[in-house]
Amino acid sequence: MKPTKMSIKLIALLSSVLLFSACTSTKYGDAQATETVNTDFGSTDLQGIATKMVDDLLTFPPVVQMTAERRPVMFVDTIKNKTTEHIDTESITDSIQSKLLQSGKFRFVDMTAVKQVQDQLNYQQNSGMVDDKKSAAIGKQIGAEFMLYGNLSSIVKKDGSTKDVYYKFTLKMTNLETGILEWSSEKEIRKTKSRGWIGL
Amino acid sequence: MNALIKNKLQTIKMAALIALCMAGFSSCSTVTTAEQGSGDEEEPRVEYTERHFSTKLAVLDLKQRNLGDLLQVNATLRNKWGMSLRFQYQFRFFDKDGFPINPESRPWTPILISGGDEVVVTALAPNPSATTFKIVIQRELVQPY
Repeated sequence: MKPTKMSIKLIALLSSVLLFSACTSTKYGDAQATETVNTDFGSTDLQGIATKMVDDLLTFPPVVQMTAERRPVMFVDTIKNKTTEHIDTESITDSIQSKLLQSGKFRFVDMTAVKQVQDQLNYQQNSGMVDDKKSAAIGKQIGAEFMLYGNLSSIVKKDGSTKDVYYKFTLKMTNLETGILEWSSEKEIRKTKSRGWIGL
Repeated sequence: MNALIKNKLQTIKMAALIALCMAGFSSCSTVTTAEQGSGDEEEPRVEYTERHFSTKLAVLDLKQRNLGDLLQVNATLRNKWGMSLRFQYQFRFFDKDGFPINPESRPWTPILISGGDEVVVTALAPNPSATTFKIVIQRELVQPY
């Protein structure tokens, strides 16, 4: 029995469907694993920066001395993105803030939640729904003593099939009352990508 | 006669196959060495996820101290090879009961050491409850996408 044109087409179609379905898969991976998809800023860079900054800050002798006695209140300002990439720098400061909080050495005021806090206090004080004796008092918040802020910059160089990206992250801590820069640290990252001679 | 040779050949083939399998499994196994600090800890403080790595990379020294109430540790790593070695390491911290502290707090850190060179790597415990630590070393595993 000779295969008809129709059956050949059907087999070809089924084979390609099988082939393509075998090529796509979704699976969970290790969020802490090294990521080197390309030279763009990635999860390994973010995690490396956050870890280095927290280690440096918590091992700085004046900070060790200060945090042995009390838990200073800190405010995190933005990190200026001076690179040409779109990078969510708030994600970097979020990681740094979480690690510092978990160390038990610092406390933070969250300026991203000011409006919600204000609304909640208004509700507790003015709605008539909350017991006066059990409502949070207005005007008792603690002001931040230190501010964290910094920059992320990059230098990109290309030469034929080679691309070299150098990132520099700088973080500073300033005393809000005195204006003194109390601490600063940097993390440098170099990523190089070379294409093979066949262009792969 | 032919049957005897055939039998012997089959036995040799089987032995070779078993040896290959054993070599395969052993190369995937985890090696832990008690490299060794003050001496009163029972748990090994260096873990190579692949056996062959311990022949290329040596952990010469492990130190620890308290900065305030936080445990700071460092490890001196030496590339025993003549060629550059690319790998990654991760410090893991444990409390006094041996429970891991915030296991996701420290990422795998990729590192490149030139042939014969030594590098000191350091880490700070995530919080004051850490009393012991371990360094895990493996080849640079890239997250597949």
